[in-house]
Amino acid sequence: MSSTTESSAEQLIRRFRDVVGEDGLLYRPEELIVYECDGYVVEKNVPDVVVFPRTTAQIIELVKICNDLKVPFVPRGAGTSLAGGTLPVGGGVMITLTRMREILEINYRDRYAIVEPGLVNVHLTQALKGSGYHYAPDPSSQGACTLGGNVATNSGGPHTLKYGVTVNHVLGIEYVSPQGELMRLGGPQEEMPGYDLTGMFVGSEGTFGICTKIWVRLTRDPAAHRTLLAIFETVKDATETISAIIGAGIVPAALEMMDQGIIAALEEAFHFGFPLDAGAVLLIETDGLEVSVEQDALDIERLCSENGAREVRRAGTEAERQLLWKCRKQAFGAIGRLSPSYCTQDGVVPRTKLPEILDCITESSERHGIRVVNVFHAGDGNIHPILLFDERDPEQIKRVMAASDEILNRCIDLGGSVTGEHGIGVEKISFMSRLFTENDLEIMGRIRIAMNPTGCCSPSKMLPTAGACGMEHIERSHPGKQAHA
Amino acid sequence: MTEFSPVSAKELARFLRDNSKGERAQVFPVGGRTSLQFLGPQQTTAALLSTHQIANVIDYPARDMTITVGAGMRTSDLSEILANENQELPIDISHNQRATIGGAISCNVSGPRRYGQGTFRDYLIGMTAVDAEGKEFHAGGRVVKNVAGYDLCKLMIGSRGSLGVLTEITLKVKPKQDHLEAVWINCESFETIDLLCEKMLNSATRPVAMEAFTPAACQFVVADARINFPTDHPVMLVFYEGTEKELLWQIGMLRSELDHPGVRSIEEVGDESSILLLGTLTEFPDGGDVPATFQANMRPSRVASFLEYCTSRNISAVARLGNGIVIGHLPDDIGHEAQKSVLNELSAHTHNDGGNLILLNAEEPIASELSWWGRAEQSWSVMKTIKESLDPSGLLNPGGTPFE
Repeated sequence: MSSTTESSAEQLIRRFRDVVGEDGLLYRPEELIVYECDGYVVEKNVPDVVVFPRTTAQIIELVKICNDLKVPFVPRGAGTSLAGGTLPVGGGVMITLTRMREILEINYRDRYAIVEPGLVNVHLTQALKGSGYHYAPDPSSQGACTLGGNVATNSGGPHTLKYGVTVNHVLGIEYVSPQGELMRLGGPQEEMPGYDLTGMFVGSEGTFGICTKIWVRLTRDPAAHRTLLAIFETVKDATETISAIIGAGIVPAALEMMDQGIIAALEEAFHFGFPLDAGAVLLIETDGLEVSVEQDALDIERLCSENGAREVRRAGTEAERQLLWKCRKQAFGAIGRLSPSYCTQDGVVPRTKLPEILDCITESSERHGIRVVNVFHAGDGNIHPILLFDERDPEQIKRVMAASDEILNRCIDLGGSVTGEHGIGVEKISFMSRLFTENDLEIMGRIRIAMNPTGCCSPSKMLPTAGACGMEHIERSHPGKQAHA
Repeated sequence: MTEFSPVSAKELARFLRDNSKGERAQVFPVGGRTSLQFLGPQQTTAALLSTHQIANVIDYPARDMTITVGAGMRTSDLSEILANENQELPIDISHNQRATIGGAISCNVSGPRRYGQGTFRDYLIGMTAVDAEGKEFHAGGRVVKNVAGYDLCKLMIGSRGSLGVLTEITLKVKPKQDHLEAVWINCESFETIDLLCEKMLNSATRPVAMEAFTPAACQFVVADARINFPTDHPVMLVFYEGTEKELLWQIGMLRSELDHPGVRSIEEVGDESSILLLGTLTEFPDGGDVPATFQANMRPSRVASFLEYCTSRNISAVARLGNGIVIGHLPDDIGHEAQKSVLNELSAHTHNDGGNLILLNAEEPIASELSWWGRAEQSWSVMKTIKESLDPSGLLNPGGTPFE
């Protein structure tokens, strides 16, 4: 059911055309189908209009028109959300920011860059190459995802183990409020008086407004690094090694785990030489000063061997290191070799609870007859079980949902959370009332109303009570995942 | 002024609930009371609510490198507990024998090592607080990565108890560094310091702190830390942490990188003196009996010229060179009008670059004549809306926010 009547839709398109021109608009059904979902393919709904602003002034106008016509709107970057963060629940307007992709300033002296929200993450990395600086958050989707999307979901990535997630690297934000006002929080100065609204804006999943400019912190490149691939017979040995490394007081730059299922797909795709009979591999990178990084690598090698690694390899050249990281970051792309559809979960547990949650994943996989492969940020305790299925089979979808529910509920039971970096989106809304108390949700609801009074900006996201903007009647095609006590 | 020191979060919540339904007194949450002198006179009519008795260890899974404690725990106690597992929270907190972790978070305290080690934004991963009506709420959790729900942890950092009273804190912690070593760099001028800062941008070394002083501050620092180094010219101080091997290599490298005619001498401070020096710099904002203390926030590239101006006005100032933060004490040998004029000039200097100058402490009549929070920012209106939505009756820390 669309939230706009035909006449208001026509008015909307006419007024949008005045702002962005015909080439900044999509509204024909065959054009809109691409925007029916993001990386979370289980739920779909086409927007009424997709609009591509090129300037902040255009966004202000677009938001004001949406307000005039009481039409909900949702910002979108590259659509790589794995939680339905950009799903246009109930239709409305999708404001896609991929044409605002400039790097506005790089200031090495003050260690910041100003970027537009549609800039692809890796394009900033490329622009900084050779300068001795980089932008630290490196989600696996960094070749496609945008920095505005990273801000919305507080994205992580493999190297966040040492360097932190997006919020640890954002100094300021300019945004268009849900009422169409241009606002600024923070900036190149590290500290300003009052509340840290920049910190709260990051991870708000597009519910506080549309980000138009971001001040990001630039980080020194590590002077040296060592990249290791440790091969284990069993997943259990690998997870115990993770605990041993962290417990020994070593914080690698990245500590990633891949199990046998994903190794096979990666080997087929990249021919790296992964051992197909291994139970699991750990990809470990330690960085720092040249004078100390070798000792860290030796300590890690020793701990791997003590915990049952049958072999520990080192990337001998930069090209080999890059290939290893390419394998890891494109792991999701290799999954197409395993199944037509997949659903990635994003639970987090305390690092020492990894063996328990991996047991749970194995049991759920067997119980529901759904194949699961694992590639995840082990050092952070951030699991990414990938459930393989065929979305054309409704029965399989049900089993995928049931297995996912079990895994995420177990994460909560183990003292963790249902999302480490993908966000709640629409997918995990039902878990919010299990993760949080009524008071917690009420406080969050009050903040949402303070920032987004009509609820028209990204409705039906993150909070269970988020239906607004005249959309309380909307029923989603799939109810998302279900928490159980 | 009435005072209440609950022994548990439940008791604290009951107090606030009863207050909101009954007397509706304004409440001033405190921890170790180490920041009371900052940012304006305290509301003498408000009831003091102290969390210092809520100081238990709730959970310390050392191998997960997280710790959950009562917000009233003294930061020195927290350091001791962490040190037993060879871990630390690498944030420099002044008066750490008295300061509580909840208070430090509420005031977003930081010190010299924020350059290399970050601030509470990088370490606070979970919290429980109680709002003005006595309702307990929490955010985050006990895992190091978690994006479920709005990040209220960030909102509470630096909110000075105006949105809720922290009762429970979960922190990410780090392995404790073996050694700390400072390098004292005596420079010809602040221009040289500016140049050295540029060189440090591409240094092969990784300092955890970079500081600079005006001559007036330098004399205080040397005396307070009981060290004997030249104070007749501008000084830059670089701190390193790590193993002996790392420090030795980095200091050697620094000497070669900073080989410049404007550098008069480079001297190692020594292990024990470096710790004392870090302590002196951490405590520096608490200037004692001075007419006014300010914090200026600017881009790092503006700091050297700002220090030069401070020197010309005999201001005792310490700069966090890599962070663009300068803390200064006005001299007491100039009159009231001159003090006002200097502060206005300093404000203009920071505002021209989009920064801000905050009065941390001031005697009368400056205290009532100048703005404590500096130039009003557009974002203050958003802050006000948030405050009104979480504390509609304005019961918590009245007058403690910039937008009031």
